[in-house]
Amino acid sequence: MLSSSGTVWPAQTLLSSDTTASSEGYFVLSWLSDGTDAGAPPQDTAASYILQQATRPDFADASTRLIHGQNSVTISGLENGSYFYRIQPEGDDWSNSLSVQVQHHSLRKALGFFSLGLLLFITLCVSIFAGIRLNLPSHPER
Amino acid sequence: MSYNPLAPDTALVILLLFGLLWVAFGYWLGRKNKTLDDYMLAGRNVGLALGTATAMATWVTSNTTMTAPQLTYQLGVWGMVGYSFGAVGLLLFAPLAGRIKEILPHGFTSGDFIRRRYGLSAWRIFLVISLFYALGWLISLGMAGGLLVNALSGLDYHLGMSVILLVCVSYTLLGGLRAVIATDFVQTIIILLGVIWIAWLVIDNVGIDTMHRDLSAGHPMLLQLLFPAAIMFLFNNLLFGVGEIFHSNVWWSRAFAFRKKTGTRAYLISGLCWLPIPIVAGFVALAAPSLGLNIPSPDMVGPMVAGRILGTTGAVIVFIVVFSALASSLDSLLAATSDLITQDIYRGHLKPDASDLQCFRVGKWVIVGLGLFTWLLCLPRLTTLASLLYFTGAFVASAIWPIVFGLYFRWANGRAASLAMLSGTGSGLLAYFQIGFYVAALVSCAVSLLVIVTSSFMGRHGNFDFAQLAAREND
Repeated sequence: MLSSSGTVWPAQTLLSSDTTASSEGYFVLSWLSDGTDAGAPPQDTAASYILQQATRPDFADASTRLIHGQNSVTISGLENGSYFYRIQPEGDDWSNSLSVQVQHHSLRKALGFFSLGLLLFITLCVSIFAGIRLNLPSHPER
Repeated sequence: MSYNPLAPDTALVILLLFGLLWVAFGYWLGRKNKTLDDYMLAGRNVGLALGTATAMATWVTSNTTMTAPQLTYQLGVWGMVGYSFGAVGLLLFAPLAGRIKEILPHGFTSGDFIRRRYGLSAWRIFLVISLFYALGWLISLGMAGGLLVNALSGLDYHLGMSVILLVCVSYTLLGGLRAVIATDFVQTIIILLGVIWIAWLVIDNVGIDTMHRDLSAGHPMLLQLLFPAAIMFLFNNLLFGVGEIFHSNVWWSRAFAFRKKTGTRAYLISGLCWLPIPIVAGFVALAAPSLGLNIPSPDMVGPMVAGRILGTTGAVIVFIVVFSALASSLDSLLAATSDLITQDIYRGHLKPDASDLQCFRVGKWVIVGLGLFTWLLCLPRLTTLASLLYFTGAFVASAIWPIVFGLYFRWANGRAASLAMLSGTGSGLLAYFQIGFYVAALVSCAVSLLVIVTSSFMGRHGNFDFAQLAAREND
């Protein structure tokens, strides 16, 4: 099989991600193994897996988690950076490795949307308040 | 799956027992329904206690109990705080509910108001928005039912989703809005006690320090107050909630059904009581790393944490709580959407001379049809709950200004309202695909405001007489 980057890997387990670039620091990794489909809804599989996450492509600084009986996992809360993943079914070879680039939206853009939201909220409150006052029985324009 | 704390048989027995209970309750309450007003609007005589409970229970949906943890797991602390901003919709609708009852005392649906206030074009655009949203919400509720059952018991997604839909359709069909409101009251009490209990057990079993340490190590952005996507999400969620409540017939039908002067107080109290619930429900998601849970799909984090913490007995309680939350919203939505289709599509477009009795009968068939349609669309799990729900944000936020300005100000006119809804929805959808789900409602609301104000004052200035809304249409 051939990865998007052109790398050839053994055919046993295929690891994939729902995105290769995340602006929110979360994404879902899924893998094809024992006839299950990567990207399909979570399946009940009997297998156990070791998932490694690293910030270097050679996995020298990898952290490991053990996963039982599922073919996907949600990763969340990551800071900016490149993250590399690979998975190993129990007693089998490592899967392909893949990388996901996390680049959060700029704070300037985020605060821009925040300010717009705040402005809209204030406008909404003021509009309702003005509407109530305008329609009071004693108001001259009613 | 390894994290299922309930046996599939136990889950099925609970589903059937509670299902039978709700259906029997619906049948018992439905015996009092003699007229269309009784069936659609509970006789227009709902008091403060029931009114508050139904507003709160309807707004505590499976989305609150399942999407709040999902958003917390994806967007961190701001995710749960932002979700709780949904309460603002209830709080701001409080004065609107009083105004609606005052100017439209004989109204049936939100569509009635738009048609009589803005005319046919705006009404039809509004109906598309409203029905699209209702369907999106119905599907998300149906999906949540299947996911919940699957996450807690391993029972097939399709079976759980089908049973929950069947139960809700049955008791809504038998009892109308009266059954919806009465079951909401019981469901509110179950939901409140259950959610508080789960959060307490999470703190007691895992501990704040442990959670903080594990999040800092593996999920640092979830604790980051300057998390850009989460900051963008805050007001988006607020405006999405406002758009949902301001336009949806779920809330308008209650405003019509409540006694005079009850609506404002009921919505105010329910908003204040609702505010902390998403924070409590979302908080449990932060315990997932400490519990060593690997979350397959983000919308399963809530049930999985609860299942792990509580074991079998506790999982039964969680199951009942989320089932109650689901049912309390699904029934309301079925009833209100059926009213909208019966009143605005059937009587409004297909058979203008239909009698109340004919509408009464058609309304029941519409509930069955809606249930069936929702079931069909829930069969393939197309997306996650949050993605589906926030897609509709682009639509509903565009209706905020036409509703507010239409209720209070003479100058808003039909052409401006139509343009505002169309342009708001279009730009919101663009933002959804170009930036993310967390800005769709925000952009839609901003563009809609700009368009309605510009178009109203640049074009022919409206001078609407609100008194004409008070009369019955056949007077």
